[in-house]
Amino acid sequence: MRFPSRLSTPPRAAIPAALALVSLWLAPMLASAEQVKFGGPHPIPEAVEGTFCYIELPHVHIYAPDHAEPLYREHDEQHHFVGDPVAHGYDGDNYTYYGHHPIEIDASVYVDVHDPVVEYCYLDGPHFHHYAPPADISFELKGGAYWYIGKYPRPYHRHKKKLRRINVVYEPIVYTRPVVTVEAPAGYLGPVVDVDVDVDVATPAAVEVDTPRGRGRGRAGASVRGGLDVDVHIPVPSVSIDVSVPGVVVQKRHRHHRKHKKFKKHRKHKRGKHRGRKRGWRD
Amino acid sequence: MPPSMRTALVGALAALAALSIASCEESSPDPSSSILQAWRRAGLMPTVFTSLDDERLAPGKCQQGTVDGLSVFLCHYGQAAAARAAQNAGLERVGEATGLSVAAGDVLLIAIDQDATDPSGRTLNRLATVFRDTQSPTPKPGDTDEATGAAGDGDKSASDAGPQ
Repeated sequence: MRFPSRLSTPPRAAIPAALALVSLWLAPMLASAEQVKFGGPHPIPEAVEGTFCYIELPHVHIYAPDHAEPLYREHDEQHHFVGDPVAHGYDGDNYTYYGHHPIEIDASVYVDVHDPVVEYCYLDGPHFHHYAPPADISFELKGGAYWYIGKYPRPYHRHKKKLRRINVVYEPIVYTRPVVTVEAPAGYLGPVVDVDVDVDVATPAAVEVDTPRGRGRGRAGASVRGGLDVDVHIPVPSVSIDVSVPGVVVQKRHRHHRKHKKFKKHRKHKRGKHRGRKRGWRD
Repeated sequence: MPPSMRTALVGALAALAALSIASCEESSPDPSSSILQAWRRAGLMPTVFTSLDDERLAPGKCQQGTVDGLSVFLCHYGQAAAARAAQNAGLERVGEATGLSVAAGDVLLIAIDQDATDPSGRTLNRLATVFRDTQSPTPKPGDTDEATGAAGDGDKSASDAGPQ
């Protein structure tokens, strides 16, 4: 049996198109097998076996990092992890820091060449790193934590808005965070956030407030009388408070581990469905 | 010169040349052996390393073996620049696996976790850091635990300064 030539033409023409479609379909799979370069220890993505990779020297995997943008800095195609390793299951030596600070990345692709590059950590409050502070940058060790002492240079401010989203990544992660229970050193100019306060405050403190719309200076609206236990919790991302003068920094355990459903409740309240106070609400 | 004497002289020269070659070989032992010994001292278990011909890694003289289940290649280039230049070729050898290709001194180390037996990378890390320290033992900046800071309030102490 012979098919009319008019019918045989379209399938022949469709072959390249079909091949193109198949190659498009295969492309992501082929891409996933490409090497990705890492410049030191880093978390292992959830989809891959293991929790943390401890290789200190330049190496490759065939997977891409999770949250590459805020958790890593890229130099010479190498991904350098700048987050809190303990949150990802790291159990090696670690150092406690408080607030934002410079970090030094060895961007060299050669193990016998040192090529330090300064980047910035935008993690709020107490956190861990697996490296000590750079020797040539001013830190003060107080309350078991390293505090960066000094002004933040222009590169820090340039990327702050984008890279501070790193705190959103860590917000839902449950792990034992460091506890810092001292006042900030005099030279510390970084943010002090997520503070559980249990102190007598005679007068409202002057604060600087970073908002998504800009930076303003104002006066804290709350005054606290003796004996009250005030729980100031600032969910991330939201308004954060940069205390411009050394203030009270009484840190209790972080309370990141609750599910924040208050926004839903708030919407119900707006629609008039909310009848009175919900059970479990704070008095 | 009588033929018998000439023959004796040629023989003596040949023997001398053979002796000098042998002494040269003794004075420059296999450079891989020091790395293998360092790995053994670090508690790793390298197998016997055998010669390997791989055009991609030319002009290096390569040997291959395994260390704690990882595929390992050691290539000697004679010059540090040549070893560094071969790092990318080494990554090709790693292929679709976790691994590394690092040069230290004139030696290139390629280590591959072909069977994913080392998901945390701890063995690869020990292997590579011992290699680096053997080949270029100069301490890297930042290895120190000390932090230079502003004058504190006496809270700073040596015990606090170290890792936790």
